[in-house]
Amino acid sequence: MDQFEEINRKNGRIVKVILSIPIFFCVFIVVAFALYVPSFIKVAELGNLQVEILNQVDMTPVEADAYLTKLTGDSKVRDILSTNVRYNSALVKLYTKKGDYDMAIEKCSSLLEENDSVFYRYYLAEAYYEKGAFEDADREFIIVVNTAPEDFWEIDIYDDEAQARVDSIKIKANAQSRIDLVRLRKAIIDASADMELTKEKSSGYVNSFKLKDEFIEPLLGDSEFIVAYLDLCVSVRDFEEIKRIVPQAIAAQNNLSYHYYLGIIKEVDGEHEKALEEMKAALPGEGITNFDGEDFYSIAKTKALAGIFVAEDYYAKGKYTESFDLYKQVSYQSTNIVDSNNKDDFVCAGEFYSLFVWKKEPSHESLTDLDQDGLSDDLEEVLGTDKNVKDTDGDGYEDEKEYFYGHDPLRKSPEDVLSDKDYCDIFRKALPYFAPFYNKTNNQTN
Amino acid sequence: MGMLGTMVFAILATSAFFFGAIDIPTLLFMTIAVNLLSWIFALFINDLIYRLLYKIKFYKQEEFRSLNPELSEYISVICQANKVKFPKIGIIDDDNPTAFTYGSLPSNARLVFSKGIFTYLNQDEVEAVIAHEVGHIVHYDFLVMTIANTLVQILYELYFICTKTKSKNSRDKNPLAFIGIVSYIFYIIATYVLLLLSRKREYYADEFSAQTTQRPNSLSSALIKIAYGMVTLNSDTKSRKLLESTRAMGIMDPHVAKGIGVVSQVSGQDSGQIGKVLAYDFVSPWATILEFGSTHPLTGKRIQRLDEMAENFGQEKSYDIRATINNMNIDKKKLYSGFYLGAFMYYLPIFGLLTGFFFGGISAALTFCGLGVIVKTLYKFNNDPVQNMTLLELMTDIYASPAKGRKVVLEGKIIGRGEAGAYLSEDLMFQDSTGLIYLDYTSKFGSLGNLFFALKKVFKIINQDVQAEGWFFRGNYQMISVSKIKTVSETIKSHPRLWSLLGGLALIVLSGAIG
Repeated sequence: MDQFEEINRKNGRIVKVILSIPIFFCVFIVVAFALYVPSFIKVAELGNLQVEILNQVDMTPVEADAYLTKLTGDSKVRDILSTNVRYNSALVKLYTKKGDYDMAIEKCSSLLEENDSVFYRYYLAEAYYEKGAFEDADREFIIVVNTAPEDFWEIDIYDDEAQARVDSIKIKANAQSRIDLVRLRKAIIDASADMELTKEKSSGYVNSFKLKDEFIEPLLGDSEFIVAYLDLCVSVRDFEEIKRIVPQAIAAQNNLSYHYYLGIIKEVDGEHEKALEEMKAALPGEGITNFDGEDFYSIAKTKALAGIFVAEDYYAKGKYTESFDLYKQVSYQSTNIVDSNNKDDFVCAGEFYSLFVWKKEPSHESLTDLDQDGLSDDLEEVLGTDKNVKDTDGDGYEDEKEYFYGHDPLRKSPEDVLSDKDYCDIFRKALPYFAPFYNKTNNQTN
Repeated sequence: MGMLGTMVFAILATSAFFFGAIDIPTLLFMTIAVNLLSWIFALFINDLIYRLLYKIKFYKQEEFRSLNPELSEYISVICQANKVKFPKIGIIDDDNPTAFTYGSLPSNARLVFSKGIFTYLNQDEVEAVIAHEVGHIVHYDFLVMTIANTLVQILYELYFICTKTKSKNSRDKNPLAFIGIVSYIFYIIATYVLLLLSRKREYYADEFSAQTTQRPNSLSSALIKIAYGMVTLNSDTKSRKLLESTRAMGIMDPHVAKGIGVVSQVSGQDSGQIGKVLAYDFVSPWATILEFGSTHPLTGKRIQRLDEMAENFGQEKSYDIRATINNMNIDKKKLYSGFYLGAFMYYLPIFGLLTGFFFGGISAALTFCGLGVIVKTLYKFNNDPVQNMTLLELMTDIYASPAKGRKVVLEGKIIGRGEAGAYLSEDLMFQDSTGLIYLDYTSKFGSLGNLFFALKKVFKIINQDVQAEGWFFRGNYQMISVSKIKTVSETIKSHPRLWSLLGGLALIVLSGAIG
């Protein structure tokens, strides 16, 4: 081989090496993309599915799960679409519809860190809302309403201007509706605890809520709200509304206290025995401790009222012992739920409970006791003893001591030992005293 | 020029598409239509450009016949033999020897050459060159290249559409991007295929010339004179004066030249140096590689083919390249180590860009690219000691490189514009006792300074004896980036390093601004 050929060959090799770099690069790219081609086709197919998912209003968890499998089945598709707003929004919506709220919230939160998109914010708020975290939902929906662009066509995810217009109206309107609903919920809960509430106001709240038919589903699972709302319905005697709401609420989340309202409906319909069954079902079972002190106010209240209903029935049927037992439980529940901010109510309930259930020397702190017999003037008025005389019946025993030892201060001893019936009478007389909420409700039901 | 124009159109049209002004069928239709129009109007546009920007005069057949009856008769014979119309003749008033054709069809072709070809080529060589150009006309090369260029543009547009079209969904990875990238790869490949096609057309025209003249060696020696610039003028001042005076009268009759003896000859012919000039094209890896990006084949390879044809015609080979190279004492280590280091430096900005991008993102990429540009520039325009050289010596240096300049000073004369007759060209054609070379001038004021130099200075130094200092580069063509041109009365400074260094610095500053 001569020099000419040698150099020619060497140069040829250099050319080959240099040309092979871009060729390898091309091959690399072509192969990499070829591997992605089926995924890209899938991605293109998924485009319409995503829009469909985002536009679908009603979706069962099973359907949501099926959609999820379709969207997340292919890891390359996930990779290609990992930053796609519409894809991620659809995923979050599906998690929410499936009931996997924490997953939806977590995903949205991490997506929001990278891209503060109004869509992620909206679906995060929706997840909170569906989960029942209404305060978080309210906060996020307010951000959505405040920061959403006037026209979504500005956002770079639309190919279709009409769709963008529709979405900009729909998303903002939905967010606003839910903000309103969350506020109405709060107002209704507060209203039901308000002793001074007028009938007009109650009726106003009930009518406002009746008008909402969208987005109330998460509220149906919120027993605190439902009981508060039903309470308002009872107070305005809107039994039709109770009939409408209770079955839906039970379907969403069964709660013992709903049976109280079923009982009321039956009672209104004149089916007393059936009403009684429902009321019994609303009770938490045997024993004072089964009344849960941790209950929401409105729920605890319905349990107490159901208890009173059943106790009254026992009384009417002459079952004084059962009636008395139940009254004791009701008064225990009352001490838990009367408004501790309202000092008088609180002390009244406590005094009554100490004296007749706990069998302890009652303390009545701030309440006046003119005759210094250990019973407050208010309680003496309720029980019928003389608030100016220590010993009303004049048998030598002070009024408070007589009750404490099981005697009637209105009758002279020795014929004054209190029977179960007597106790029942005392409880019945004193109901407005130890269960101040009873008065309001009771007046309205009858 | 036409291709550049249609390329600009392609970019504009795809941008219009991108902004939604037009749709895909319209775009493709427009591309084809505009290329068609540009092909149809190329003739008029080019006529206009040459009339406006070049010192050119056009002659019809009859007018040319009165100017140069012999050459006119020669062209006429070839044209008749190949059944094409006699082309319109354009003559550029510049001593830089050059010849080319343009047009849209053989029937309306223009054949243009500079007066320089009569200065530097003998009649046989002129005929060979003219025959080569007529070969382009006969082969429909304008049409072939326009069609090929249209196809390449469509690929580019496909790439542009596919990668940019979905940008409303800018946060998505776009599935069409795949097609886009594939079209881009094909676009790049097609660009090189286009160049390959162009080189094939040149060989084809060479073949036509050899067939027509039956003297392949004439074209060989013309190529050595024009493409390598290896030409020396007869020092007989009397004959030169006579030649110049006749040419001043607008007569370029080769008879006149013949009458005063051989005007020019291939320099170094007698000492066997020309073989070494050709050797570069076969030995240097630079030549081999850079040929891929060139519209014309390496001159050495063209001459080799012409030699083969001469053998077929039973004529003597003008250069036995193989024997020449085998007899040369080539330091392969020097050749290849120089090439590898040079190639590394040549592509340093790209290496810097890629390395920076992989290891630190856009900001680092810009910094590394800027550093690469600076290092490359300092290596390219190095501060080696200046050597007194002749062009023949430079052209026989097989270690020459486009990456590392050889700092030289040459004695000679400016004979014309770098691009023959172009008013706006700031570059120059230089001649020393052994040959011609392109001088690249760079003003410190950038393009505006270049334009000023082209308009106000160049005509003053043409035909002046000068001393040119600068860096000699050779790849698939050769040139000198001048740093100084000393005339009798003044020293003109050129700043080839300045703008590259500023560019490198700008990149670094920009990266600082981004990062």
